[in-house]
Formats: sequence, C-alpha cells, structure tokens
Amino acid sequence: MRGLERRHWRWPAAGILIVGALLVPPLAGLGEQLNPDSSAKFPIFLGTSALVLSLWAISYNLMLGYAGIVSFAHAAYYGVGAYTVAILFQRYHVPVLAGLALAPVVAALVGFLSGLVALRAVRLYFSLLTLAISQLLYAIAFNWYSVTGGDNGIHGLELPDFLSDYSILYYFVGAAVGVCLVLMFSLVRSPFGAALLAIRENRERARSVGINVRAYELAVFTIAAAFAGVAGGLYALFEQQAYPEQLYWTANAQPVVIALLGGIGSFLGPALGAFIYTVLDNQLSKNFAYQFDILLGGIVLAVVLLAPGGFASVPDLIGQLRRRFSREAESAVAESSGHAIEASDPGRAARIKAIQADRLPADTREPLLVIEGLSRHFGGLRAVSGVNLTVHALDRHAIIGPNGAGKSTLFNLITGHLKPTAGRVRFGGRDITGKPPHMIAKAGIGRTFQITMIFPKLTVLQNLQYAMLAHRGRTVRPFGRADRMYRDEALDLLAAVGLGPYAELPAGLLSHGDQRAIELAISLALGSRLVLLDEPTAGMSAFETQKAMELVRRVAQEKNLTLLFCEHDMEVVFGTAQTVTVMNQGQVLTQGRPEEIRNDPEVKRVYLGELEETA
Amino acid sequence: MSGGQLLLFVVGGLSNAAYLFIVAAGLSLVFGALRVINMAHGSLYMIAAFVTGVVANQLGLTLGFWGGLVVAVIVTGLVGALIEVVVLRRVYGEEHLVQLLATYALTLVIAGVVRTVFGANYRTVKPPAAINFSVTLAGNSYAAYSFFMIGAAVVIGTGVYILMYRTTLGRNIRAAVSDPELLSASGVNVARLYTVVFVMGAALAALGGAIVAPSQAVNASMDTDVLVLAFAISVIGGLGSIIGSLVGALIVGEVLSFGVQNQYTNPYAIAFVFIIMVIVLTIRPWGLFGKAEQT
Amino acid sequence: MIMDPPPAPPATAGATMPALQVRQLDVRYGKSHVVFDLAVEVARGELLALLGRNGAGKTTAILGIVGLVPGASGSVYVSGRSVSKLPSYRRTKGHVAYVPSGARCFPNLTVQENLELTARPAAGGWTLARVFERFPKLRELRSNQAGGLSGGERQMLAVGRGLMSNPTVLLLDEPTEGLAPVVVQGLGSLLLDLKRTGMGILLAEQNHRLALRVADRAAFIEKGRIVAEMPAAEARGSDILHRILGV
Repeated sequence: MRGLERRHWRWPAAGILIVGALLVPPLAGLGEQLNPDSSAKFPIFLGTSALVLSLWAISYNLMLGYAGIVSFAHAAYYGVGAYTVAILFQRYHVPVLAGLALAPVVAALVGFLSGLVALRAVRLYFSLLTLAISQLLYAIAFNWYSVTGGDNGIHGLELPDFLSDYSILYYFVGAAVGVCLVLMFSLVRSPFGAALLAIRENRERARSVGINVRAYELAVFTIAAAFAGVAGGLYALFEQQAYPEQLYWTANAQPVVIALLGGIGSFLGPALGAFIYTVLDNQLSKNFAYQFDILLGGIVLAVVLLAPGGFASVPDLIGQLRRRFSREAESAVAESSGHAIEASDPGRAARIKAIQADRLPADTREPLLVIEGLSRHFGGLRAVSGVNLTVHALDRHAIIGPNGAGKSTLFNLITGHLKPTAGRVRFGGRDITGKPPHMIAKAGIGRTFQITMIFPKLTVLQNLQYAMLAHRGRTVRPFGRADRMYRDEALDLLAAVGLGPYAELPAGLLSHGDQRAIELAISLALGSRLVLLDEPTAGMSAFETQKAMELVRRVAQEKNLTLLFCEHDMEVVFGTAQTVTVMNQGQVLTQGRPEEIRNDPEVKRVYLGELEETA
Repeated sequence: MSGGQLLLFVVGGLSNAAYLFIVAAGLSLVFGALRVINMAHGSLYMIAAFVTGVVANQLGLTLGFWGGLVVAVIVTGLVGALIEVVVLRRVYGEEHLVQLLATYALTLVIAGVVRTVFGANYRTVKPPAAINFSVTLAGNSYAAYSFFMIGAAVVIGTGVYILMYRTTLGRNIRAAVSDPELLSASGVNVARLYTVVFVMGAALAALGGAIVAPSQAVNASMDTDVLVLAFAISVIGGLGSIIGSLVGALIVGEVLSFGVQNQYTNPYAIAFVFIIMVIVLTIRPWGLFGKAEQT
Repeated sequence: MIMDPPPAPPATAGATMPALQVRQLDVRYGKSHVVFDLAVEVARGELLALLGRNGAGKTTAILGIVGLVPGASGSVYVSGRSVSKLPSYRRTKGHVAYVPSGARCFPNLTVQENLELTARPAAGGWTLARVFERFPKLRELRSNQAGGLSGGERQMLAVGRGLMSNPTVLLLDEPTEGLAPVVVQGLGSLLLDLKRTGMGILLAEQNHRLALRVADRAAFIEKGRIVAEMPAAEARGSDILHRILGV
C-alpha cells in the first residue's frame, strides 16, 4: 500500500518542500546570529545550488521517467545554458539576466538540432549518439579558446545590483526554478504528456494509434534541453562562471543520481534528491573526490539493482497502479478471463454509433482497399511479390497460407510498417503507398498485432483515452489534464466490448482474450473503417476463439467495419470470412468464397492437406 | 600531400584501428550475447593499462611489458567476472534504461577506485626492448611498435573468428545470442556461458588497454576517451557484429589519424567521426553490419 | 504453511521404471500460482496427451518439468532417478528433451549446428545421419541458417534437435500450432514411430484431433490442475473433452 500513501501525501509533501525551501535564508540568518563563527552566506549558497540542481534533475527526469529516454547529452545542454550567459556577457556585454532569458532558447536550439540527428536512431543507439554529441560539444567548449576561453572557461560575470544580496539571489533563483517546475508539471499531466507515456509504454502501439513517435521524442528532448539551459544559465548567474567540464558526459551523473535519489517515480522527488546530493557533495567532494565518485556509482547501483519493480513504474501512475494491484483487483482479474467477450450491452450501441458518426455508410460493393503489384524484397528474398488484392467495403476477408507465405509482410506493407519495393496501395480512393504508420492509422486503417499490443501499465480506460487523444490530434496540447478527456466516450466503447468493469485496471493485468478485446476497442476508438487482424485468435482456446470471433463479427456488423485478417485456424477462417485469399511464396495463389477455396486442389496441395474430420 | 606522408597517416590510422578494434570487438561480443551495452568497458580497458604500467615498470624493459600484459588480462578478467556475477546477472533482460544506468554506475565506481589506487597522474610505459626501435619507410620513420599493434590486432581478430565459428564454445555463444532459454533447455549451462563471455569481453578490453599503453600516456580519463570511440565504432559498424567492429575501427582509426595531422582540424577530429556516424545512421539506422532491433 | 511430506522416491531406479514421473509439481510466477499439485506419469513407449485451453497451465507445467521456471517445487523422476534438484541444463542433458512451442530453433545457427548442439550419443540412438535419414529435407538444408526455414521445416528441426539428445522422455509443447495441416499429419506419424522405439512422450496440445489420434492416454488440465485422466480412446468424444476444449 505504499503507493496509496505516497499519493495521499503528495500534495502535503510538496507543500513541506516548498515551505522548507522558502525558509532556507531566514534559518541560515538565524544560524549566523546564534553562532557568530558561521556565515549565512554558505548555507544560502548551497541552497541556491540545490535549487538549480533540482531543476536540472527534474528536466532530466522529464525524459527518463516520462518518455523512457536515457540521454548522455543533458549535461551538455546545461553547459550550453551556462556558456550562453557567460559568452554573451563577456564578449557582447549583454546583461546576465538578458543572457538568462536567451539560455533556454539557445539550449533548445542545440538540443533540437542534435536531437534531430540522434533520434534517427532508436533507444540504445540513440543513447550512444547522445554520448557522442555531448563529447563533441565538450570538444568545442574545450578547444575554441577565442570564444569559450578554452580549458579556463569564463569567469567574473557581473550580476545586477539588486541580486548582490545572497538571500535575494536565492529567492530569484527559486522563483525561476518554481516557474519551470509548474510548467513541467502541467506538461506531464497534459495530453502531450499522455503521448509520452504511451510511447514509453509501447512505441509500436503508440505509432499505430497515430502518434508520431519521433516527433514527440524530439519535442520532449528539446523541451528538456530548454529547461536544462535555464538551469545552466542560473548556475552561471550564481557561480558567475562557465567551464568546459560542465559539458563532459560524466557530468550527467549529477542529474541521474539526483533523479534516482529522489525517486524516479515522482515529479518532485528529484528536488529532495538535489538537497541530499548538495549536502553530500559539500561534505565529501573536496577531500574525498575519488571516493565521492565511488559513492555516486554505489548509489546508482543500489537503486537500480535493489529498487523493487525498477524503473518500469511510470510517475503519477505508480500510485494508482499499486492501489489497483491490491487484493480486490487481483480477484477481479482472476475472474476476467473470457468475461469481456461474453458480456455485451446492446443498449449502448446507439451512443457508440454517435462516436463513429463521421464515417459514411459504405456500399458493400465499393472497393475500399486496392493493392496493385505490391512487392517487398529483403535482399534476395521476395517476401511479397506482385500482389494484387481488392478488399471490398464491409467484407470479412481472410488471407491464409503457409508460414512464410508473406501474410505478415503484406500487413506491414499496408499499415506502413514496411515500405514496398514496388506497387501501390490505395485506401478509400487515396494513395497511401509508403506513408508512415501513424498517418495510415489516421486515414482509417486499424490493426491488431500477432502479439497483443496494448499499453500494459496504463489503465484500460487510459488505453482508449490516449488512443482517442492521439487520433484526434489532441496530444499536441501541452496543457489540460489528459485523464479527464474523452472519459465518457471511452467508457462507452469499453462497455461495447464488455470491458466496462475493468476500466480502471492496468491493462496488462487482464487475460489474453480481454487484452485482444482492448485492441479491438482501440481500433474502434480510432474510428477505423478497415481493421487488420493478424492472427486474432493465436494463443486462444477453442472456447475463447469462438467467443472472440463472435465479438469481432458482431462489432464489425454494428460498426460497419471491414475486416482483413490472417489466421491459421481453419474453423475461424471458414466460419468468419466471406472472401478468402490464399497466399504462397509471396504471391496470391487464388481467391474466392470459402467453399471454393476449401475444395481447390492446388490449395489442398500447398496448404490444407486433407482436412481430417472437419467439425 | 606526398606519398610518404600519406603512408605515414595510413599506418597511424591502422595502429589506431588496431587497438580500437580489439576494444570494440569485446564490446560487441558482450552486447551480442548478453544484450547489455557495457558502459564500463572503457573502465576495464583503463584498469588494464594501469596494471600493465605498474607491472612493466617493476619488471624492467625485457620482460616488463609482456608480464604486464599477462597480469593485466588476468586482473581485468577477474574484475570482469566479479562484475558479471554481482551486477550484470541482475540486469539481464531488463530495459536498456536499467542496463545503461547500472553499467554507467560501474564507470563511476571504477574511475574512483583507479584514481584512488593509481593516482590521477600520467604514466608512461616503455615498449618491450625487442620491438623498441624504429623503421624507415619512404623517408619517414615509424615506431616498430605501431606494426606490432597492427599485427596483434590481426592475430586477436583471427583468434576471435576461429573461436566463434570453429569451436563448440563459439557455437554456444552464437546460440545464446538468439535464444538463451532454448540453449539452457538444450543442455548448456547458460549462466556460466554468460560469465565466460563477459570475461572474454573484459579480456579483449584488457588486451586493448595493455597494447595501447606503450603508445600513449596512461591516464585516468582513458576510460571515457576509448568508450566514446568504441561506441562510435559500434554505431558505425553495428552493435553486436564483430565484422562491424573491424570496419568501424578502420574507419574511425583512419579518420582520427588524418584529422589530427592538421592543426586546424586536430581539436575536432572527433567531430569527423561524429559526422560519419550521422551519415551511416542516416542510411542504415542499425549500423553497417547491425541487425535491426525490435523497437 | 503446512506442507505434505515429500513423496518417497520410487524404490528402484532403472529400465523398468516409468520414463517420467512428476509428483506434486507446483509452479508460481511471483504471487500467482499457475500449476497446482500436478502429477503425471509416462511409461516407456507411451504417449500422454496433456490437453487444455490456452492459459490452462500446459506450457508452465512443461517448463516446470524441464526446470526452466524458478518458482517450481515438487519432484521429477526420469527412469526413477530424481532430477528435481538439477538445473534445466542438466535435466536436458540426455534425460529430458524439450521441444518448445512455435518450432523454436537457433535462427542464426545452421541446421546442422542446431542439431549438433543437443547431441548426446547413445548406443543405437539418434545420430545426425539418422535424423537426416528421417528428415531428408534437413539434409538438403544442413548448411542453411535455421532462420530461413519454413514453419514446417523448422518444426522438423525442433523435433530433430530433441531426438539428437537421445532422451528418455520427449516433451512437446503445441508442436502443431501454426503449421499447415499437411505438416501436422506428418508429425503424427513421426510420433507413432517414436513410441515404438520406447521413448516416453508428453504432448501438450490444444489440437485434440491429432493428440488423441496418437496418444495412449490423455490428461486434461484446467486452471493449472489435472482434472481428469483416461485412455485416449475413452477421451475421444467424451463430455470432458467438450467441457475443457469447448468442442
């Protein structure tokens, strides 16, 4: 029940932290009066340092905790912020406050440009690229004497008079940090933040609900760089210097350790971590610099290896999830198997129709998806070779064939996960050949995957809400509360697929069949006209299979969906499809009504064999 | 640029490529089999360089370097075994996030330990007496040690190839790359195999660190210097591919060699490496010889 | 928690003992208990079909027998010798062969390397030559990487890998899943041949048609427990088959 407590205490804890931060200068002053040997200057200075560090660490956590990005370039953007203030002051005599205002702009620009490069790569390669970028920026700072002062850095920045008092400087930095934190907090709760969580949870699924993954990653990377720039600028302000080691990649240890110390699972945690870090740093790093490194490493190791559940837990959600994981949820889940597909509520059908109102009623004979001469070669392998296929609106169209016949490749070509070597794909009269997955999803082609693809740690309801937000282009909004949007619509859709009772459970806890039902609901939420089902009953029992296909047929009928599916279970194929296409070795072997296919001698030879004791 | 000068740069690049290949091959071997990107790989390399230095200076010019090399490989291998058993075992199969942070933490710990034990000062290591002479080719003088490094890389590279494709151990390692669970169900002790692979990776880092020691000043920031280059090589060549490490090392080694010759490009030689990385990734996001990973 | 005393091991070990005996097998994944008090016995030359829906615990039970899940307790005997304390890599060295679902192979190894990897020579047992004799297609493909094989070829390879270790007992997890019906038929006749060599076989399946055609006995598993066990002939068309598999 730790999560519950944490959630319960979140606002009071934040309050205590803020009050504590406000009290630093007066308490330091009091200390000076009580003990004339000590100076108030020093604790206030440490406090200022901690404030800056907490901003830096929380901006790091924006990437690490919310988008699952590990960057080794964050120190570089912090350094860029500091150098912006320092260089503008020293070379162009720009006042430091004006420099501070420009620091996030410059850091964001550098972050954007390097992110543009680094985000061409995925995850691990991305992290390695950020390391290279960081070292490149360090090399520039270290070597470009005429501008950066080389290894000496830049010293002796002058502050405006009103900031010469330490306490005032402290409050000034505190106010700047506070504003940044409010902005970031609002961001993570917004639809934009929802898109980040979705990406963090399941990139592929995020893409297929219409989120442009790379654009969002670039956005959060840039935003985090901007806030790191502010932190770096503030550092230059109160330390009155900038130096190249700030950019060195090992400097990232600070935000990483702080984020871990404070708990990556909370928004304000790193602020507390920053204060602990500052004290440790102050006590140890002067006399025991090497041992301090060992300690930092030890802290990171300890948290990474010993933290229960690890980093998988997503901030904000963690509290809710832990609560859901309690006993009531477990027992509900134990019952959930097969429940969804049995339950149905026709009474809601009308309301759901309204959700899909933008769809035109389709004529059954109208070709919805037209594929011409589609090919995809992998080296010498012709996975799909010159396929022509027409899927008519409202049809239930099955594709069968031996493993390796090219069915999955064909699906991936249609949904844009692969680019064709040759050929055309038209959908509803529009050419969608080679378009990226998120645009094809928006055009109205939904899909389920062979492996169940949901956002496992988001609630069932959030799975749908976030899909809707993404599909309707709302995830660009950096304000508002994502969890309050489209709630009723999502609940209605869940009821339609019988998942109403599980709306608030993490989707990953549901049974296999129910997770498949979530996928179908996501397709509905996206207003798809054509849904591609890749082995929809793989891994289901005969009973679940039957129920699942009943659900699919019913929903398809109610919602005027066109289905294209591939499947190995011949009972499913012949029981559901109105048209069957047989593929073999990347080509279409034949096409026809189920009974024609069943009796086709060529199909029997390559695929069906003699069906024994057909049920 | 004259032909002699060109040869000078090319040989310089090859000797860079030599030690970089040895180090990057270890990184790739570990990543291929364990799916862990070992940020502490450069730290192991640094440990070996320091150990080589200490032992070599104790033993004198004839045997010193060789003794240092052997001791360095043993010590680093043991450290590798310790890391594998204590840390890595707990992060297999975790997200890259966790693995990156755990091995990153190790770089901090090892850097602290190395500085505490050996100090932060630069050290020089003398090449073994037998190959401590220079050769004149086309009017330029070359350290024989450069050719030794190139030869050592060829021998080590061939050894790794034979091990991977001609031995049972290599076959098992390749099997572990694709399906460790199935391997365990096929009668192979995968936990022990993983330790062996990581120790081999550490030994390659150690060979790189020991061999490079006489050609550079040994210092406490060599972990980062080599790590950045090894990553660049892996990104260019493709993570997990030994052939990729070779091609990547040749590219990076030559680019650095040509880059540092000019006083204007010298400080930014790393920038050229970086630009090549960007170009490669634009064309092949998983490197020249890498396999696309599930996103 | 009160535990039953562990069952006494069979008195004598050797060729007369059943190929596989499993007693009181419990498997837990974290907090969830997946397999409960499972007991099965497979004689030499016998094929036991383990039938159940997806999620009933078939795969988990097999993983428990092979020793691939950490949270397993209970006893496993092969030819009367306890292997319960052995890790999976020792259980699968000649005692138990595991053919996982999805025709899993090492895709980056050649066909021959895949087969050699599990090889445990035994007098009169399976060798590379005999496997190639049984699956001529694999001989043709011997230097090809397994990843390029078709689903049916991969399944042959997976079974061949199991045979190469000359096991006392062969565990197959849904070998027919995703296979073209024509390949399934070939697999059925192979299993019948293997039985004649005295191998004990445990076949976990949803495809009851194939399973009951080749099995001697059938055990039905539901929610992690064996709920019924009977001769295969009796199981065909039985009420329990209807109830469990929904046919």
